[in-house]
Amino acid sequence: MTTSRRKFLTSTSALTASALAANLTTWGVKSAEAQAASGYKAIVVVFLFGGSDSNNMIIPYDDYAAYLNVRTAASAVGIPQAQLVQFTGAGKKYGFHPAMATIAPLYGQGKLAVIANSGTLVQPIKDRADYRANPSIRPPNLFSHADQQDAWSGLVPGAAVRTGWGGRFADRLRTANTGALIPAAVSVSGSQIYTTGAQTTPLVIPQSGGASMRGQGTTGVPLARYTALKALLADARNRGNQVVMGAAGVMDEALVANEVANPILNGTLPPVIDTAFRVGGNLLNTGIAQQLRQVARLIEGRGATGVKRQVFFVSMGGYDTHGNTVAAQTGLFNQLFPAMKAFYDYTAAAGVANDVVQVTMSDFNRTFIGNANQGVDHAWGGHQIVVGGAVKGNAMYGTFPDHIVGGNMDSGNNGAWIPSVAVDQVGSTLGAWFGMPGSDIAQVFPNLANFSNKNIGFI
Amino acid sequence: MGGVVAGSRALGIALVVALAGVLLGPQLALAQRASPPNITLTADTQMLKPGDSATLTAKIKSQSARIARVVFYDGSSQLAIVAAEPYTLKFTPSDLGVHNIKAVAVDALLQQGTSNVVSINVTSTGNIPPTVSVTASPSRVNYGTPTTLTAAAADRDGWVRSVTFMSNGTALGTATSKPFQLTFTPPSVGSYSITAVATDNQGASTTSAPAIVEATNSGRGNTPPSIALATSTTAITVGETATLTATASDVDGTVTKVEFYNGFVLAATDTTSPYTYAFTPASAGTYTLSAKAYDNSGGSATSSGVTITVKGAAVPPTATLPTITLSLSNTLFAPGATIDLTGNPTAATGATVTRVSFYQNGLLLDSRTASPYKVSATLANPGIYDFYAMVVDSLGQTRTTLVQRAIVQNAPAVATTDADIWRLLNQATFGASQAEAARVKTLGIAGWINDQLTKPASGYPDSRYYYLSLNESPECTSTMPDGKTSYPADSPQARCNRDQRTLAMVQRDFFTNAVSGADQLRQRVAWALSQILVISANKTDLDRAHVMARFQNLMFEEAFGNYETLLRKVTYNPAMGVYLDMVNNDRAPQQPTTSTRVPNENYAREIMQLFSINLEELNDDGTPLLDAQGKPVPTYGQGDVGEFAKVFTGYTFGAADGAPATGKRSGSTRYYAVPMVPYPTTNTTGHEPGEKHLLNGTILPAGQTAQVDIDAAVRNIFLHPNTPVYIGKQLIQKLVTGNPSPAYVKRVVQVFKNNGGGVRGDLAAVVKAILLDPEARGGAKTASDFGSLREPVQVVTGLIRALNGITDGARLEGATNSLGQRPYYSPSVFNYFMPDAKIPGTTVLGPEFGIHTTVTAINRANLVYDLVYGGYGGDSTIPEATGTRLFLAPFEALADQPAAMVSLVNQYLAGGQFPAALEPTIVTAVNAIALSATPTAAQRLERARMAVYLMASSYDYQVQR
Repeated sequence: MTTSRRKFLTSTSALTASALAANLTTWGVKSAEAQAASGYKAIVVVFLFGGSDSNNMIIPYDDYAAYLNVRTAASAVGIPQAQLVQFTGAGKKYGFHPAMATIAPLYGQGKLAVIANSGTLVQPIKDRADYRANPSIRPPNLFSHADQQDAWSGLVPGAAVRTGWGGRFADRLRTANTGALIPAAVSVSGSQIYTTGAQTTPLVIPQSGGASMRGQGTTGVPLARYTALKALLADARNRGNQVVMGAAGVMDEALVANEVANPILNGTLPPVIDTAFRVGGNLLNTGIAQQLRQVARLIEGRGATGVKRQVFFVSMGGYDTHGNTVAAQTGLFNQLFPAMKAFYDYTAAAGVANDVVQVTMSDFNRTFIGNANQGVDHAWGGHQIVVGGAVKGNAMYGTFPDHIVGGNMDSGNNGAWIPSVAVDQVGSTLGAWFGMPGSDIAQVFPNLANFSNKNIGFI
Repeated sequence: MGGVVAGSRALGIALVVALAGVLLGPQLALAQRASPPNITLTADTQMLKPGDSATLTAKIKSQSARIARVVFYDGSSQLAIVAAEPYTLKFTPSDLGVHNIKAVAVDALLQQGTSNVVSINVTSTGNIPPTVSVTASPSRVNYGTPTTLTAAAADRDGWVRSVTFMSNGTALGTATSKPFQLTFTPPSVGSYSITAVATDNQGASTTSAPAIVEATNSGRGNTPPSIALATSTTAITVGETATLTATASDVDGTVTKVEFYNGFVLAATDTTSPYTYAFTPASAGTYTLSAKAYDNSGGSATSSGVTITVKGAAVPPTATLPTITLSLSNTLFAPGATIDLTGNPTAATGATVTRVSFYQNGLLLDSRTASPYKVSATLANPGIYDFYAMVVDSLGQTRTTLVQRAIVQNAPAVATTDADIWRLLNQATFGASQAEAARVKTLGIAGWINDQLTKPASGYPDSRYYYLSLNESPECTSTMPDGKTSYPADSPQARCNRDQRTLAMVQRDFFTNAVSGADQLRQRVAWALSQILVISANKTDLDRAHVMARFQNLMFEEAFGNYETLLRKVTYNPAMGVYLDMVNNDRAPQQPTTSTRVPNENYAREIMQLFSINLEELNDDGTPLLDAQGKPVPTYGQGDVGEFAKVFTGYTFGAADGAPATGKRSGSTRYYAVPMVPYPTTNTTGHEPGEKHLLNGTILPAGQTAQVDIDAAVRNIFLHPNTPVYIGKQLIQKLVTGNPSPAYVKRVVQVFKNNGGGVRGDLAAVVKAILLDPEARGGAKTASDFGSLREPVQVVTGLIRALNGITDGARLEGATNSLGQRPYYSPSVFNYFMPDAKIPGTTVLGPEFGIHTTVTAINRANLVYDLVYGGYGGDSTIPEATGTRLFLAPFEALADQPAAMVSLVNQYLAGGQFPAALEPTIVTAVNAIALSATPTAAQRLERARMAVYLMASSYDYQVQR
């Protein structure tokens, strides 16, 4: 009987990646199909580790005098007005950093928007007086890299299980992602709080290619090796020790997800990606460009992975510019913005521009006043950009700071702006675009209830 | 911080539990002890025809950790993996009979729960495919104008689920409800064959007969063609070819030809697609090429220009000397082994290789006059054997390789090891080994620790890191005097450049010290401290050998010294000065002034946040101290950072001759071999003269010197109640266990506060307290949260030490980098991972899990694979290179007795602590390697490797507990 019996699945041994993918996609559950999100959408978080000086990313043009008051030529932390790439937002002229020349046209095309003075908030803080009078309403551990990175990522301070808002999106989107063969949250940048959920674990992938096991195979000695390795791994569940079990659990998830992800990550770069990432005939090969190409590969492979709502995390470091800030940041921006522009071009060429949005995040803005090393120190509210076909661009959201040190919008005396927009509002706006119900979004952002405007409308 | 504590702690725990409930959902209440998930399975029907579907639904009734996935089985065959809720599966069997379905839930801790079995019976009866026809109205349109496609589809025994419209075989779109219609807009002139594919509710499909849509261009003028030009390359050398490809099309006709122009000169014409032109210029220069397309109505269009840069032909380099490299088949042997030496010579230009001679310990071993240049040597006795090879070419020129070293050793006797001794050695050294275990047995645990406290530091001796300049010099450079060509990698100049001007030798020494230095405990503590007081070579100057070496030597000097001394030395160290911007940090200019500038806050913030007290007040047992509202209490605010920033001003680089600084030193006067020194204060530069308000009400009066202020500030921080617990708990985590109990933390903190002789911060006493604590010592550890995932560097050093391997340290930093830990290249001041990282899906602290991901887990297994399956070959530019090898000879000898072999691996690798019940799994894999009647050396080696690889890559080995 065993020889003649036809199984739905012909292979009774380990599934190959393609068989697994083919079977699961054809086996979509009818009831779940009805509920599953239509189409595909992805959020790509571009995190600038170290705290990017966004005071020099978006600079007032009409009100340049207020900027020049503090960021004088002598301070060596300012950008000359003549170098700015001008644009109009909220009724006034502003300028992008000169290194944004390639991406700036997307603003005028309505594909790029500026979120002015956003940051970590537990509840709205009106002004300096409000901040000074009420220490209890301040977010914990302002100005600390790790804590503010975590706060932007959505960590709830004191939570027993550390999760971020990307991971909590993935938790809430499990129904929408029914049939998905890899986790919905993907980090191309190592282990990150942002992509970690309570019920879902992120897939971490290398900056290029897939992570493949050496010495394993489907026949002979390599098969015997792999079979034994998996048996030893599986037996960890009997150990009763959570360090062994948890470490083995990560390895187990890697082996399962990589069966689907590795063929996508290891194949020839699809021409639609290759073309978009070429500048002057050369493939952009900065770290951030490589990471975004990995994201593009998984978007191209969405048919095989079966993910419908995906969150990606890519990052750059080096933005902690306590010294020589202008030169350092310009060098970083020259890597960042061509890569983000290339990634947008890919989404347009691949027909998914309206389904994919890039959003920048960073620990914090930096002090408006320069320090002794021609650098700038840790501050608070800063500007971010969002890029994508669905973005309601050619507009500035939030309230631009007045650039008065020690003024109404300054939390201290060095120009650390009190944010006009909370991270939670940025995230909830993206959640609404993802099609998540308000009740789910409220679960993801426990402080959202403190803000009246839950969709700030940039997408 | 005494009075409020007792009452508020309980409140804090309640808050944390409540938060866990919100974030995890009601069904997942995480317990410290794990139990398998409970799962049930249902189906919407249990009677089916072939091709019909049943929906299977699995529900999780209880769980102790996050569910990773649910796997559905038909009998013993896996049907599908469902990674997330809802755990449902559409099951569509095609064969008759009874299918017994079950579902298995797997959680993040790999625990499994199996559901009840649901039986589904499949009996025969068929399905009739649908019928379909298609029409287009109108069937003749101008291109670019829409026409409506309509399909008439019906299904006798069900309903039509969808109709997909196809044009010339390409899908146009799908309609899912009646009337099945689609709007089609022909993109260009031509004839389109339209079909419709109807699919019924049971998945059967029928394709209609085609309908023809004619797209015309009546009543409108000619539209010119479109064209784009691409090139295979934009930079070539004379004699090479760039292939230009034009993509041309015409919406209302056809492309008749494409002309290629070089500048304004017609270079070629192509009448068939693909339109290409092979551009092979005869001379160097910059060329602009374009292409022009013509259509059948005489319209034309020209592409944008493509610029190709053509360089003159390269002149082939002339070699003046022959070259040769030497490789050994292995470097680590048992007595009596035979070694293969292989030379890879090349002759100088115009010459041929006439001879390769091989030397053993300086004496000629043998020569070869033809390829393969290979000889064998038998190594009879234990000892060190140095080999090199020399090539002689037909011009009489010679070249010699560097010495490669082979080591012959006897296998040490193996004893059954006490579990506690083995655990101690994994906590206090870079890896337990039988040799070290024997020493502990002789000295006793406390005696061994005391002995370790007396061992002199290995570290990075100044004599070895002698090159104190940041700049290249004639004897220390990779570039030859001509400024263009590079010195060979094995030249003294290039070796000096690599070893003194990068971290290569520091990192090699890190690994060789860790593997074979006698000061194991000091090294472990120094390595732990280097991950608390972090600098990284990813900042300017800090990737120079002497800069990093002198900073890390502070960790070795003070590993058993005093934490305040260490903190002060670190503060004045110029490498830290550069890393966190204390060097050349000026005061704010005296007011009134138009200048707006404040002291740099970087060091002020991080010395508090990371090097001492952290952000929130702690109880001595490591739990947070909470205020009356149950909220954490910040240790400092932004105002405090500003005050401390004023303290850390007015210091600059010291000088080689000890000359006092007259101002800031920078540029060519950056000097790292001595601590930083103060420079004079003016109205705008130097040390901030005003009063500074420190923590806990301490005020530094105005007008003190920079050094007095800084020493007082370091002391102020050191005396803060958080320093003992924030630093002490991390040392426990680094040495013993990631999730120490509050009671353990408190016992260690008491010693940090007072070593028994009234001294605070005595690190030797703290380390002893950590290692001798009952939570670290004793028999088998049964607490479900005890232990640590081995750090990446310990994966490497642990294997080499346990298996009596050798290493010259080369390439190991790259190996551990793939696991997220490149020594002395932390990604930021926050170290490779943070002390508060948790085991995924649980509430248990596990710092190393901060870098344990789906990528690094794979890389961890691959690192073990690389070490076991050959290790790393010797880099012949490192004198007396050995590469990195494990000593597998004791296991090879038992290759024909697999059970005994695996048991011996367990003794060597895990002190016998690897679960004996799993040894047969490894034996099965070992037996998959066939043995000849007389086993060959290769077969023995492969069997040994299999056993070591499987045990070493298992998490029973990778977790130290």
